[in-house]
Amino acid sequence: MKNEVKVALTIFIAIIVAVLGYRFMTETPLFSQSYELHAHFNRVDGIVSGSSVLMQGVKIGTVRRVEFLDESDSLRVSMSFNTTRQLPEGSVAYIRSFQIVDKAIEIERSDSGTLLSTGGRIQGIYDEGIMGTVREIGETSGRNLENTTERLSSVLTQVDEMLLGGSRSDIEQSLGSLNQSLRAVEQLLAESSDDISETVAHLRSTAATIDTLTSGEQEQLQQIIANLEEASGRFAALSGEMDGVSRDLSDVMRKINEGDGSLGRLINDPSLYNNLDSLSYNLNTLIKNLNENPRHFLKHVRLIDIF
Amino acid sequence: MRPKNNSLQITSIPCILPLTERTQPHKMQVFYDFGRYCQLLYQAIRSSSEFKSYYRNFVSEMIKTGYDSLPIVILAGAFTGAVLTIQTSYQLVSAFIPKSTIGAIVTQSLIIELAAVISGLVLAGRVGARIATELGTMRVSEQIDALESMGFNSVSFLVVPRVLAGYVMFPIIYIAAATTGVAGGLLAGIVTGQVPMADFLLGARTYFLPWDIIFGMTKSIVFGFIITSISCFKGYYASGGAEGVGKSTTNATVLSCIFILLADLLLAIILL
Repeated sequence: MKNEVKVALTIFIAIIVAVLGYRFMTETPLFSQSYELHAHFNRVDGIVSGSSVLMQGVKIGTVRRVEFLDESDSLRVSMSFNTTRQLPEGSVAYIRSFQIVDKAIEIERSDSGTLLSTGGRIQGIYDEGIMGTVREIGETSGRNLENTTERLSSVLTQVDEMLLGGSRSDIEQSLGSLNQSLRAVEQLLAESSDDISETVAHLRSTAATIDTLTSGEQEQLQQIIANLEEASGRFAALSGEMDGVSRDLSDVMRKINEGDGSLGRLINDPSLYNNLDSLSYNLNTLIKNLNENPRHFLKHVRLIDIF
Repeated sequence: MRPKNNSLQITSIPCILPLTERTQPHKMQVFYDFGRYCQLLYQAIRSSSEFKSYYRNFVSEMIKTGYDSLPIVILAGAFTGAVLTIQTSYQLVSAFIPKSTIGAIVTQSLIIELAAVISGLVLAGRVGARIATELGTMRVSEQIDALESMGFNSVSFLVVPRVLAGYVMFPIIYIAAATTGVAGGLLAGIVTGQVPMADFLLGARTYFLPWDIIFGMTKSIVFGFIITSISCFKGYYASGGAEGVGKSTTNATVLSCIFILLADLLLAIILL
């Protein structure tokens, strides 16, 4: 091979390798045209050229460029896709966080039948995700904390004012009086300390006397306690008997209540009462009639007969 | 710092540079050398239009500098990438760092820095030493003087094709080193099971910027120029027989390495 051919081949192959390597690294399909779409966002935190474009969690493309659009004050993100992945019209591109810090663009496909051609535009939405929520919570708690601090400081100011104003002298006076009272108590204690110690001594001697008294009569005391124990035992037996009696009584009462037996019937059955009642009524009428008209009864009765 | 009577010879092309004064070390050697280096470059630029006189040399230099260097560069790149992947995955063991970070680190370091610098350092030895030895031997065996006496412009005949070949072939070498480096890194990740292919590519692609390639290629062009021009300078002004040639070869390699690292730093400060 001639030297010139060698050199030419070397350079030619190197250029081809460089171009293919570049397309490989930028994820442009090696031998075919790529398919490019744009999306407009207000902000694109973390999205740079080379960021992944995902659909349902699968990488389908790469971010090519992020450019400022001066006229609309927004950012245009150009994405390239494999041509086998043509997107339908109305698809939406979300910027979302993956694994907390990694940002990527996620495409949500629409159901539209018409496919977007290269250079088309899809809607872009910046999705703050979990970090946005965290930020919101942080802001709210920050505000709350601020309010709390303000209130606390106003309370402290009021306390301060109170202390500086008239209340301070009141408090001072109260403290002074308390001091005086304590001093008086102290004085009182100091003065009557002799009496107190004397009383304590008396109490002690009384206790000693009781001690000596009881120590002599130990046996008698024990006897008394034994008697008491016996009595209580008897009480227990008695109460057992009483229990039996009361059980019998309650049995009797139950029978009476139920109208069982003669006494029960006497109490519960009203017929005797009714008979007695009607008898007394009849007697009453009889006596009344006898009083009013004794002849009627004595008509056939002659004195002679009687006598 | 040169003697006055030599200043005329800079402008005359072909230029016959005096041999007698080079043997004794100058008081301000650094500036003296830098001045001569600039003269040589100036002459090279002046004579770069004489394309016909160096065309054949240019092609053969491209073969020697680029084509013949490809195996060693590919090998160096692939091994650098593989080692980088294995060592990065050994260091990044935290559960909070995704595996794709390894891919990003390996690819970025290769494209921005290592592909250019490693191939530069390897070729400083391979290409730089060859150029310095060739020109040095020609100088001490008075072949350059013979060329001059026959009316050839020795600078356009010897220096220009070598420097131009460096310009053209170093980006090619960079492409080879970067590509095989990334491929080697990817392969090492898969073979050792440290980084799955998908993770590696995800990281590599996420942090990939086209500017990085331009940056790396700029570096490689600068390194190519540094290696070839310094080696030509050292060989062209060699003196003192076989020992002098050896000395100039060593100097060429060492200086090339130092200036590659220096230029690397400067470019990083300026361009990043």
